[in-house]
Amino acid sequence: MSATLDKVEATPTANAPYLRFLAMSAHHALVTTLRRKRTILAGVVALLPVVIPLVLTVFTEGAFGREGNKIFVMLMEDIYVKALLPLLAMFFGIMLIGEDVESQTIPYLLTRPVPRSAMVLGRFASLLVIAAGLIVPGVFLTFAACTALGNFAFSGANLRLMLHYDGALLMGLLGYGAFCTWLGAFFKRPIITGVMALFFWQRLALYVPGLIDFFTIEKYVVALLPPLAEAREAPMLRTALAEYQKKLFLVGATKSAIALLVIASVLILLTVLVVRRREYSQAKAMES
Amino acid sequence: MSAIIEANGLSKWFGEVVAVNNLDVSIEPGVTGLLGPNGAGKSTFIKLALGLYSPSRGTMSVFGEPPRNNLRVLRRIGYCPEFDRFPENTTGFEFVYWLNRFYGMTAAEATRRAEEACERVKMTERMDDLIETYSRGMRQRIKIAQALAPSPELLFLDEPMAGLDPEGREEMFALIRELGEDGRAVIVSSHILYEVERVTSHVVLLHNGCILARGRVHEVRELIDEHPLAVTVECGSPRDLARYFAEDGATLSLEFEDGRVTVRTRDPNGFFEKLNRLVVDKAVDVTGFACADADLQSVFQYLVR
Amino acid sequence: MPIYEQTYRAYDGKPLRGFRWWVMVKQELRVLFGTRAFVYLLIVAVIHTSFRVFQITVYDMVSVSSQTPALMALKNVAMMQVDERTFFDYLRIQSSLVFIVTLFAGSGMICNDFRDNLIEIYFSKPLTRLDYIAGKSITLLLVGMLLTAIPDTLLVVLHNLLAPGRETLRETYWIPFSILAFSACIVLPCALGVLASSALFSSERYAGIAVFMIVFGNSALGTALPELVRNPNFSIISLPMAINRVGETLFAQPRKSFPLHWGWSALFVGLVCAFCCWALASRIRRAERAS
Repeated sequence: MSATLDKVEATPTANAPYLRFLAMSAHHALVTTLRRKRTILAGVVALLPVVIPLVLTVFTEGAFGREGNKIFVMLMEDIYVKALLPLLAMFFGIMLIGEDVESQTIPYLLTRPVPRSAMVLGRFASLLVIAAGLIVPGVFLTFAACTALGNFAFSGANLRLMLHYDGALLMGLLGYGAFCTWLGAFFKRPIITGVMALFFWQRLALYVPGLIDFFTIEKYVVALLPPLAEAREAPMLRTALAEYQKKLFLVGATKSAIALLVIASVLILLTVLVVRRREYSQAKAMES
Repeated sequence: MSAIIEANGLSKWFGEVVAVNNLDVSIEPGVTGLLGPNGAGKSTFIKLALGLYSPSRGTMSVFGEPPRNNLRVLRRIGYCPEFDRFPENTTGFEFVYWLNRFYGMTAAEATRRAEEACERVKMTERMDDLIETYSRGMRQRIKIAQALAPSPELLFLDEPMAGLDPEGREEMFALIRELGEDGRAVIVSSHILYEVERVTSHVVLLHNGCILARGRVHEVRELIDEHPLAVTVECGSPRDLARYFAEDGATLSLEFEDGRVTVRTRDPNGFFEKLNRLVVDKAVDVTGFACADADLQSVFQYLVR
Repeated sequence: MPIYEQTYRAYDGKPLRGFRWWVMVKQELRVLFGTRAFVYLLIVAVIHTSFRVFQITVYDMVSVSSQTPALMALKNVAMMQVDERTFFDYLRIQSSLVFIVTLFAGSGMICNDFRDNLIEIYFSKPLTRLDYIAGKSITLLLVGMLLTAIPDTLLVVLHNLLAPGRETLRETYWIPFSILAFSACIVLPCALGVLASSALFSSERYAGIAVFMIVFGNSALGTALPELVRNPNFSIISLPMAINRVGETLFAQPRKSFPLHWGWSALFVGLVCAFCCWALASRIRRAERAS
């Protein structure tokens, strides 16, 4: 049984294509995020590592003035990969769905005929664009600043190295971003869960012998880094068993890239399911 | 006429709190008032119809289909929520525009409709200002604008009069009546009976998640014939008038005020016949009378008693 | 029927005397202890404390009553020994938990009041801006102390009870003062930082992320910079390391962090607290004026 009302103007959007919803959702998230003052804070944090080589150029007489290569690698791996990447993913990802949940404006969106998957995917795409828009220029500026130091020329080989790091960071962004998006949609207090998962669990899992490090994102991101980099593993509990396991279950770059894609796809799918199934509304609390 | 919303054995509970309890109701096109005190289950019922909640038990159908995650249904619905929350750092126009885009409209179409909707709720002048700078009434108007903008067939207005000034209320009453006359189905929820009476005579009375009554106001009134009716009569000599009714077995009580008497009777028809006779016979100088409890407020009070 | 906009005005009567902020502390604590996740976090803190109780009990029992060689050997195991390092380590480990609990409890404390227009209600009562800030800060301080100073001091008392004597007393009488000072060093910047962030951001989640971002980014920089410039003193820019440096001095521990005088670290921690206080106070002052 279906009632129709003749006098009412037909809804103009009955057959709007899925891609339009996807693009519109991404556009909306992009516009609203870029307009927030807090995005500037994220930008400042993302560009902070650029200051280090610039400051160091002042001390070029010192020993470190001749170690541009080492400094670039260290900044990329210790600051960008291990700190900035998960931080930015958390900053943008957790609020991707979570902002509307927290500000209780999500009923406006959920009563619109927009496919939930298009909404989540569009927003996730905007996260990738914004975070990449902060990371990639940051990496390039860091690279450029490091070339002012010795032993690191603005050459093709070094540019390729920078691009390699860019690629690894973008793949990492995919994994971390999807994880944080899911956290924001699923948990009531995603910050604590995110901090525990990304900054305690990941550290712990990478140091402890065994295969639990397979349940971290950092493992796959680190596996994508250029092979020239210095010894990356400095476990607190270095054991023969752990060493053996790490060699035995070594994950290559291709497998890591696939793993990150799978992680991102599964987590985004889970986010869509959460958004479809959860009853986001403040009335529940009010009426209780 | 076919029902637009149908609920069968519909229940919704949150933990141990039952918000909607075994509701059987069908709502037809036109303006329908959803009436009840706070916590009666009005908003929960609307959210079930919007698909924001899934029923704990029973079924809910809108346009013949379950509404939860159903884009076909959502395309035909507009919703003005009762909560006063907006995305931060957004102008009124942008708010309506983006929500239009979520209907799948093109940018041009969304702009045109957003402007039209803002004009319809008299917000054109302020639509480019940030919502944070709006008064409560303006925020209410912009919420209604976003619900109207896509021209939905079914419109849910949850407490639409909240925060509006008297002039705004009158405009809102007129707008809702106009929407109903357009052929749209409009569900207006409120706990203020006077508001609902101004826009419709079709009401659904909810209390503690259950339906108390539904239908036209006077039909609902007939349902409670056994309850007394209070009539206040203004006249020069209230005590003389009271004497006529004091002997009547149907009269339950008499209350006197300055130049008026309130008669509580169990037989309204008999009362009015007698009063009519007295006026015609010029036995008393009646200058006016009012049924103190003929409005929805008293109907509701009787029903929940 | 005229419609009146309901609003609140700042209270302009004479404020009540005494601990007005206590009302806020009581209310905040009641809300916090009613939150399941908060109780779970406290339980995690209890696990560590239980381990320390076990350690002190075993050590003291062995040292007081047993002459068995195996047990005597246990006494010499570094991990089981009880001295000032034990109480210092307890606080160091608890500091991560303090950060998380403060983040959990404090990130929404002020921004949610702004969102729900509670600020107006507070200031329409006989409460001043100072009472409001004091109420919120003391709540977080109490929660922080509940995880640090209070259990650690009780551990010292337990140690004295299980191994009574002048020697134990002479060895530990000063430790509660160090505990209090070091706990304040840990809890104060955490509490004030989180509250300042909560006052500056409109969203609880962003307030939490921003604090974490600053602390974690600052730590990462504090780890990388000394290596890059080959000067360990640059570690002072990391707030956790600066706090640790103060702790080493308070507990008379051999220096493991950086050689710079601990006074600089204390000054840095103090400046961070002062900055947070200023940010917090100026935001609340603006809100008070507006209301």
